[in-house]
Amino acid sequence: MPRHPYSKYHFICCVLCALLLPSQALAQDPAGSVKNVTGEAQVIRAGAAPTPLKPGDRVFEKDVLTTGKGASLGLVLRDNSTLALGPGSRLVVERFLFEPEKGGLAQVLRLSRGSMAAVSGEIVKLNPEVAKVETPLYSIGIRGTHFLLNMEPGHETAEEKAQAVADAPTPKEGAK
Amino acid sequence: MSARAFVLAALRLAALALALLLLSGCAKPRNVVQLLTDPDGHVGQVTVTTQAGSAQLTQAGCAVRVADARSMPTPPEDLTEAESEALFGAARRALPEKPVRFILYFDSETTRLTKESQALLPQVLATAKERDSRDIAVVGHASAAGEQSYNIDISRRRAEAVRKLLIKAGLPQEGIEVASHGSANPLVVSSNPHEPRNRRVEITVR
Repeated sequence: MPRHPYSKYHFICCVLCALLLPSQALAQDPAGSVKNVTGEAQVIRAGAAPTPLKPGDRVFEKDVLTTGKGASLGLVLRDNSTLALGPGSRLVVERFLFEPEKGGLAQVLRLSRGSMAAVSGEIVKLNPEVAKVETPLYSIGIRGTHFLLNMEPGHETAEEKAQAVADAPTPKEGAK
Repeated sequence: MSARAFVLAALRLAALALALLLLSGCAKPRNVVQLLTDPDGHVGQVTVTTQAGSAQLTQAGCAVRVADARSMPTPPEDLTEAESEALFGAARRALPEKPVRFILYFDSETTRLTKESQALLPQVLATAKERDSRDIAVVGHASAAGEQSYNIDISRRRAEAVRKLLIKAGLPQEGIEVASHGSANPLVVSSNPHEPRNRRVEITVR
């Protein structure tokens, strides 16, 4: 009988973690990073619980970013475009590719509710055709540079609405 | 006669009440896109598209509204400062400053900064600290002279050398990302394969 019956599993787990973690981290380049957070801002990634965002956190393609009541979130993307969300917003980084030396460019964001301010960057400069922002009611094409958009809540898809309940910040005791 | 006047007055009142009701019930849609002058003083252009068609914004301050997916966006209008603030104030205040790029040059075939570029380092550090930057890209480049593999290697070593300098000066290690582009991404296209302006590291402070 081994003295530590779990040690073999422990070892296997460690090896698996060591093998899996770095390859997952390297699998995808970040789309950008968080520059500032006021109030409650979160990221939802496939298969993970919503996680609060803080300055310096990297964001990736397919991330769902949300802001709570009175909150805001500022981001800088890899092509040096800047963007910010106002309170009660939900933005999905649907597509982000910035590999100018290989000709790989794409920037598709989806604002399903809330407000957004943006200044476009290198992607729009190199190929404006590949950059757009979608909402439930309209989409915008961008030839540059500084624009604002607002999308009233209540038009989200069923799936987005279900998530909106899940990612709504929990009200504080006594707060209405 | 007087009964007729009374009916007319009542009808007028009813019409007025109806108009007021319609006005308040049909408040302007708050799905709004607005174009502004960018930090460089440049005004771009955005196109707003619904299932019914598109509208273009080409003038600073102009905005369109969208009532629903099957209607055209409204014609461009000026937004009042108060409405723009109510819709976008928080997002605008959170919009980060534009990233800053610095270019450092190297002596030929070395990872040694030129004197001028060494003198630029304090400015790089000051900018990173002032912005509390946690996202700094350090990308090495080489001139076209020499083998591709050598160029990839030397531009990586140049970027690494700069990264070490930045960390030594106190910038957070986890915020710095290094890449090497070899000679694939020249700053200037030149017939001189030894073009010194291509022997560089570009630092982007975000």
